[in-house]
Amino acid sequence: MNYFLSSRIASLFRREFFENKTIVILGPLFLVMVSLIVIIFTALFVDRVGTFFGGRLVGEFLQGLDASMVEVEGGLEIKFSDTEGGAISIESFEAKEALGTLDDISNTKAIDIDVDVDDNLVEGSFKLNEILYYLHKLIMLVPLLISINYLLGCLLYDRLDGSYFFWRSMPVSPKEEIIVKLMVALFAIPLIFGFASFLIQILSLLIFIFPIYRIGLDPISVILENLDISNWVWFLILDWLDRGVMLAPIFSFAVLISSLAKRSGFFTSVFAILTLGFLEGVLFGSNNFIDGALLYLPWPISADVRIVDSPTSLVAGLIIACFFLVMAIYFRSRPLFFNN
Amino acid sequence: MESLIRAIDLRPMNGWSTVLRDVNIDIPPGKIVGLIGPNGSGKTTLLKSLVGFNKSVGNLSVLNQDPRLVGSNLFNDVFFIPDSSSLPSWMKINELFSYLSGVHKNFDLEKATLLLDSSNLDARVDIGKLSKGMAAQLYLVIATAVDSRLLILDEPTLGLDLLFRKKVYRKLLQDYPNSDRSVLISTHEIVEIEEFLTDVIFLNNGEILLSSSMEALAKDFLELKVDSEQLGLAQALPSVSSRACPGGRQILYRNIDRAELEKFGEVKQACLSDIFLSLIAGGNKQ
Repeated sequence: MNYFLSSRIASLFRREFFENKTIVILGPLFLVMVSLIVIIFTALFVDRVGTFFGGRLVGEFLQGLDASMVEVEGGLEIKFSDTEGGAISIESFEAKEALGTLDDISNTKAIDIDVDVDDNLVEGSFKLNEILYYLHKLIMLVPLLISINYLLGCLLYDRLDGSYFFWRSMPVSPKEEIIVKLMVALFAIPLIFGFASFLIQILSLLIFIFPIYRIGLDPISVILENLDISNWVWFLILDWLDRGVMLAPIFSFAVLISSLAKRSGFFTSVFAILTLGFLEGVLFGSNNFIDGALLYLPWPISADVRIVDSPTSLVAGLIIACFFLVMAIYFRSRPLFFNN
Repeated sequence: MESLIRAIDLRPMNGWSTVLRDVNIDIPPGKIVGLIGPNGSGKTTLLKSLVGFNKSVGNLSVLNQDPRLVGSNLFNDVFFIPDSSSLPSWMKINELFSYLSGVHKNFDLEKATLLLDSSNLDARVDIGKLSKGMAAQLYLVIATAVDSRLLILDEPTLGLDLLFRKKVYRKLLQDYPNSDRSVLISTHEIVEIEEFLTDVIFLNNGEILLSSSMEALAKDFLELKVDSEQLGLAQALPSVSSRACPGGRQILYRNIDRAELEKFGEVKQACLSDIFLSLIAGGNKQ
């Protein structure tokens, strides 16, 4: 029985893959290729292309990496001993040669510097982690849009093409069907695109070896000194889980819209959002619906919210998601519209 | 013997209007039942109501369960695909088989593959690219490969040529008589299916005109070919219908003693299509 259930769920996932294989296979490939072209272009023109960090040029950013390395070569040694509570304490500061004029600094003088690490997964000293972090966030906007588009059509297209009753005549409940579709959008599509993003980031590092080398630095040292690999991989995993859970209410709303739409999921969702926002504004004078929804969207649409930072939002989001899903399951069994 | 389908005073509701009127059906195991009616008579509506797709009122039991309450679990033992045009057009045939073998515990992948190989269908083709006849073949391959207790087919041979239709019916229905399983088929093609049926239901304007076994039908309906001399006497008996034929008229009688009719001319068993047309014509006149 359990074997059959798992086989059935696997088949439902396979069915989603069959239906969306163009997006699932060609989408990431296309993304990698486009990103590759952009990265090569950026690497070739490092002194003309700007970064996202304060409008600096990529070339200047690479020089910044260079400066970090010189400090290391000069004998600067920093030991991170305590990161609890967001405070990093520097216990050892041996830099006599590098800081020759500062004779009064003791070899073992402890300097406490508070560094706010709550809002960042990456530590300030690992500049490549920071740039890869934002690169990943930007890349992951693509699967976000793809997932929303997929969900807006997932319960609509079979009513449009006449196959609704075929799917209904299978021993698969609307609940199973909808949960699998939601899981595909929340976890499977981001996972596939997450791997694509990972590949793009590795390719970026490999391609940027060339401009780093050209400005007279040792590329391998620069990458190793500026990239915390475990932090980088851990961030990718956490970001995948974060968006999978935090996007649940938004995606469940898209599923509900798909179960209700007559012809276009997109226009129905725009209409529903504007109507609900307008009604709330007129009746209560507030704008909590749209503001609240935006909270669950990832950077750069809203501030970077993680599940560990906002348990209240998480619980509220999951309750709202369940409510939307129950409604979607109801309307899947009893559709309002058939179009053929 | 317990019925596989039992509907008492079933009235499927479509919006505010009632499509069917107090339908009563009882299908025991081992039967091949033809649901026959003209276009718009309510056949598809009835079939969808029997599996719980349409809202309905009245008593309904399919495999001792109420389809309106049991949900998708019903389809582990009941196979129902509305028609071949409802097959998902974006899927390839092998993808469809892969899906069915995963979700349907009674789907025999090996059997389906063998049946597909014996047809002219390519498993790598998108279903949407199949002609109407090919889609009907695929539909029947799936129906044959699913070992369900109750098979409900809605116009299964629509689009198939005459030669293929009989072959299909023979292959599809050979295992059903005298088993614990039954088939309910809605169709227009009475002539081709007649020899396979054990029971028949005639539906017109949402109303069951006749529900009978083929054996009872053969006894109850007789056709008399009468010449002009005997015509007056023959017409004096209560008949169902009458039509001109070379050398006289053919008159259809219901529940009249065969010996009595033989006094007026040649008596033979009425064919299903004649009975159907006569009853439909009678129903429409009313």
